[in-house]
Amino acid sequence: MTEAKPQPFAVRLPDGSHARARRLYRWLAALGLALWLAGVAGAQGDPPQTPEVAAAERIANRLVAEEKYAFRHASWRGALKPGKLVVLPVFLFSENDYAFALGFQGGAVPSLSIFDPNGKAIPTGVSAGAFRFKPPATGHYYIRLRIPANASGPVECCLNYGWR
Amino acid sequence: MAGLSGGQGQEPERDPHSAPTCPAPAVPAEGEPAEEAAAEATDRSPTEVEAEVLSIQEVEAELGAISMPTPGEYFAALRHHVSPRWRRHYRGSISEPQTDRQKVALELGGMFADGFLILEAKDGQGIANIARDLRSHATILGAGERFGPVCGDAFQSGRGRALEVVRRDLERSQLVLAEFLRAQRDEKLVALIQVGLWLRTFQIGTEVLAENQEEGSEHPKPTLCVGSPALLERLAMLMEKIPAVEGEAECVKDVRADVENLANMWLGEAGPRRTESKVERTQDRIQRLLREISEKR
Repeated sequence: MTEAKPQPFAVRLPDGSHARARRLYRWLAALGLALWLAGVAGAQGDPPQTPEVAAAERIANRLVAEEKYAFRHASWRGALKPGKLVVLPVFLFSENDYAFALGFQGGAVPSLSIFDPNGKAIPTGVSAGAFRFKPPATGHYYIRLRIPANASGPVECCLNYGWR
Repeated sequence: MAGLSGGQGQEPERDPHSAPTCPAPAVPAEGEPAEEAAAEATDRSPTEVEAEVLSIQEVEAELGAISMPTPGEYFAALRHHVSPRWRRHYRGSISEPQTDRQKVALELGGMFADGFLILEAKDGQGIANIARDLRSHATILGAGERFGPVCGDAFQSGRGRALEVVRRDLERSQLVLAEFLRAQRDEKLVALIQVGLWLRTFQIGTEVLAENQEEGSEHPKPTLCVGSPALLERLAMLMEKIPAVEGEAECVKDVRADVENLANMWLGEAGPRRTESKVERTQDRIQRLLREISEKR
């Protein structure tokens, strides 16, 4: 069964002019595209203030104020479905203390694990919130976020880190 | 990053910003969705989970801007060994922007590093100055309109603002520029900015270490002059992903060759064995490269 194609140009303005309707439609389409592009571009430099981003920022701000960490502007944001995981590489210097801020919103608490440069898991027992870490050596570490398979739905996550 | 890049040369094409694979990858069977593999992994022993999880190519693609550190983190690491006098490592006035886009990108990267250096020196006026230079260089890349306001927000009121805020804004302006260039399909320039950033950062690092070294004594931690061999190797990988093209600026060719040589040297695969010689050679090469980048030709 084929669906009826939308007929935007069939809109008839009060004066009966199709031409004006077409111009108006084009203008609205252009405006919509411009707003969408602006939104996309804005989202890249400034993350939208979603609950998980706000939660991660609250944790980060507390760590900055109370424990003198310097936090990054950049963060990782994404939605993880039940049973899904993501591994995020980060480069850490052994001289620094690090704190990770994990904000989330959704049907389950994500579990967070960290793996050393050789891919070996470092036990943490941390699920969400603030997680402090002193790397034993300088190099690439891997942060794994995992959502339990029995979660009721996708979980929106935001991860950021700071150092001192 | 020795030991992490097993199977090099046989790996599938990856994002130039991606991290190397972990050793002994256990890639999911062809057609097996990563999600299913992940769900299965939850019922396995930690070792099995670890091997599978870290090898999933799809997961590796999830690389955000946090996969590379910032110079701020590197400078903090330096501070644990020495007490740098940051202002001594300022560069002289930055020349007018060049016309070669690749050189401009390399210079821009170096200027972002200067921004982080200025933050370490807590120099409000310096922040305003570097903001002006960053804007003029970004304009050459066509990013003036997008980058200018962000950069302006970040630095115009550098004086009196909390350092933490300015530091985040500096990183934010770099992200905005990178996103702009990616949207223009100028991934090459994004990579060159990253490489320029770290070359200048390492130059500052080698100078700081040399300044604090007592005569006749050894460097407190020589590898720190390049952050770590793993970081240098990462830059070499970034440069490898930039295809050499006809008419390419001479300095880009030299950056590609020298970064690879330095990475090999620090990974112990080539060059002098004496640590002091490695530090000196690193310092010389980076200085030469940065001079070449800023030269007008």
